[in-house]
Amino acid sequence: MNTQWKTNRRELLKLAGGTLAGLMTVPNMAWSADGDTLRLRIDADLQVLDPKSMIGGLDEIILRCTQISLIRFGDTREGNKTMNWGAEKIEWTSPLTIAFTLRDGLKWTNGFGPVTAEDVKFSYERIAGSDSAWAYQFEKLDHVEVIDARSGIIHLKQPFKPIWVISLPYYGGHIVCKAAVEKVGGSYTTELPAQCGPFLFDKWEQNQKITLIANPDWNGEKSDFSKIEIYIVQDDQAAQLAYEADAFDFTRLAVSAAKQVKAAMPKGAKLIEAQSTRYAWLTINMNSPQLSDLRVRQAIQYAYDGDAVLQGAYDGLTVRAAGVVQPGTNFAREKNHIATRDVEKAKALLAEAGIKDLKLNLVALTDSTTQTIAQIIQSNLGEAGITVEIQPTEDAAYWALGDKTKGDAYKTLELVLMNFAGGIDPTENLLWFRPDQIGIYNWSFFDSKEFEDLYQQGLVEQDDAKRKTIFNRMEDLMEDSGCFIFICFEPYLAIHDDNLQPVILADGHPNPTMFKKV
Amino acid sequence: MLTYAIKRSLLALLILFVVMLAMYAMVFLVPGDPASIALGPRATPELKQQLIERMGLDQPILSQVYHFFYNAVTGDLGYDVWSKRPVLAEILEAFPYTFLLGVVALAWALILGVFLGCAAVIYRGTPMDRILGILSVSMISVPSFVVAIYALLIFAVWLRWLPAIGAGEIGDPWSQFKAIIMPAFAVGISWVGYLARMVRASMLEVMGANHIRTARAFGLSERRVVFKHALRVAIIPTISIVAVGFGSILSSAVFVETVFSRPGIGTLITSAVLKRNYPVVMGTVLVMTAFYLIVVTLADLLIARLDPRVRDVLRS
Repeated sequence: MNTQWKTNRRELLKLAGGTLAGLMTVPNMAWSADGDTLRLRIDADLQVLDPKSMIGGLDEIILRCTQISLIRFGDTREGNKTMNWGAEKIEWTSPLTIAFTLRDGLKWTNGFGPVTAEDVKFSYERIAGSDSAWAYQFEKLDHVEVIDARSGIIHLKQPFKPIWVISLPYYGGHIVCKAAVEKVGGSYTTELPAQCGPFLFDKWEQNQKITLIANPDWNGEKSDFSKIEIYIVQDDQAAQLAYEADAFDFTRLAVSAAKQVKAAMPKGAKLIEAQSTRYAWLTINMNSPQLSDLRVRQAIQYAYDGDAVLQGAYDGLTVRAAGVVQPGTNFAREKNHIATRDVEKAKALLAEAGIKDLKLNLVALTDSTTQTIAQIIQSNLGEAGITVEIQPTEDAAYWALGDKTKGDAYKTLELVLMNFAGGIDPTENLLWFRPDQIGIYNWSFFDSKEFEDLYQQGLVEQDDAKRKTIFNRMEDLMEDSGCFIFICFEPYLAIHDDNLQPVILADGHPNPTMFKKV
Repeated sequence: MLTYAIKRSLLALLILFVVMLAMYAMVFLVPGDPASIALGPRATPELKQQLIERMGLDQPILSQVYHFFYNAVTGDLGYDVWSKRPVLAEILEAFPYTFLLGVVALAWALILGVFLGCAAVIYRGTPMDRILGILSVSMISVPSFVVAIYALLIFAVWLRWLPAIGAGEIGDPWSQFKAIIMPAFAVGISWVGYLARMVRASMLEVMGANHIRTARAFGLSERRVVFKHALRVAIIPTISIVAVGFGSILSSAVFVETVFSRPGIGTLITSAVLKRNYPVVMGTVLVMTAFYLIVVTLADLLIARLDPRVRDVLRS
């Protein structure tokens, strides 16, 4: 037997190649994940990190990590409870004042010193009354009074209870460093002039990845992770595959993926099924000549099959909405006046109105869920003798449809499927149906003075029971006008590693600083 | 030759101008409100107006076109509406990723395509030739995004050999190499088939030439005749196809970069279109069209230099 060990270049290369190939077949060997790094996926890159001009999405997620707000939200699945965050102490001292004291030890990066009450004043007052998209959050803000370095009082023009949930915990509520912002000319875009949160912005690989690292100067509650990587993956299906390939630990999924994921759940993964704040409805334009008769609009409401839409478009993951106020909250209306389908009643109403061969145009966005809803409505209304022609419309063209500055087309819209991302306070969701929104986002021409009066009352009313009555009445008015069919609050679907406990806020975006290892 | 080069360059400039005019026309013709899309429903009308002014969309179209070209000549492609960074800087950051993807995809497609084309000639008329024909047409027919998704499923999800997304870590060539394998495979695969068919057809024409007959008469093997003598001539038409192919590969990159979440021009332009970030859209289209025209013009000039038949036509 020849026992001589022969080695030459070719053999060595073969051996090395074979070993490498072998190692790479071992799962997780080729692409190991660092246990101390939290990897999230989001669908679009950042745009503007200045709270005054930011758009939302990734911008907001980053600011949750790098900045502080006086208070912050807990998980939306646990009722959107608020808790102190940048504030050590914060409380209503009267219907018009909120007193706060900042936590000791909060420190800006880049040598800008401690976070002060002056920074809070600057952060809020620069948004209030400005052209910022978040100015509405501080509509009732009068001023912020600085008591000392860490304490101040928020003064309101009128009692405005929703400021607690609309303004303080996120978006416009993020605190920026006055000295740093002034140094860069009063506003900034993608480079944070100073940070003070539990994580620091480390690296931006455009359209690919954002890396955040733990802030060494952070003296508050430590995160379970020392690094956060946020991957930008536009396509939901690609993101789902990438999750299965262990590219990240958490991603939101398309609603249409629910069935498939449930049928073949990836190993070690957990699915989140929740109700989002995004509400969907059918707009029926009363200004359209064909829909000016209330009986015709009601016929549509009766012909609509809510169950079919929920099953067909949402896989039964959500329930019928009775308004635009989030179901399950203290302010939600219990049920619709027209809650069950009645095709015969619809036909009778059309006959009573003297309408025959009614043909309507239904505008719907091009995404698969909206198109499915449109097709079901087309079929529903068809049974009542109404012919519906679906007009799939791309995003940019869609948003111009109801805009009065783009011509008169908004006056003759007929049916439009709409959905908006909602807020926590009912006023945030009811806002769009006010008379002054006609030609902006009120595409149904619903024009009710009583609705407007109630809206104003709802803003300043302090008593929750009275607010519920106000909001419920507003939704009654909406439904009774025949201008709306409330479809649902869309389901929220996400997948994550089962050794992770994610925290999702009311806007549907995660708060990475609150994620826990389990 | 010089006159030809000047003519080709002027034609390229004209094409570039027409493309940009078409782009501007599209911005105006396509219905929609870029400000509402970009800013969302909570934006105030004042904020929307500001954005429209920032994008220059409130100006007459001819004025926009004039300013765009005037600035472009000085290397100023404007600023990203959101990040306010120079568009040129964003393009220069993204371009190397797409360029590398295109080069790697084309390189492997060229090597394999030429090899399969030559093999088809060597085995012409045999079942192997027919198998190679079927294989080539199949590769041409499959869209790159389908290949991308299946490659992702097999190599990233099931086998976990390759990363599913990204372009690898900066400063880590090994991770960058692994990250480019699947995208380059997806982008290049249809070109393997296309080049194989092209080389085969071109080669069969050359195989009847006198110098090939002479080579055979000297008793050279068929492989040596094909690879050493016929390929040298048959490869010339492939150069222009490769140049055109580079443009096609860049457009495939748009899909593939999206599927693999790979940074690059495709991802940049897709997100810019979705956000109606017109300065970035315009700048990217200008740079990519210019790049494509340069490649095609250079290929034409190279053919004119290499192919004696073209050279003779130009001389006459």
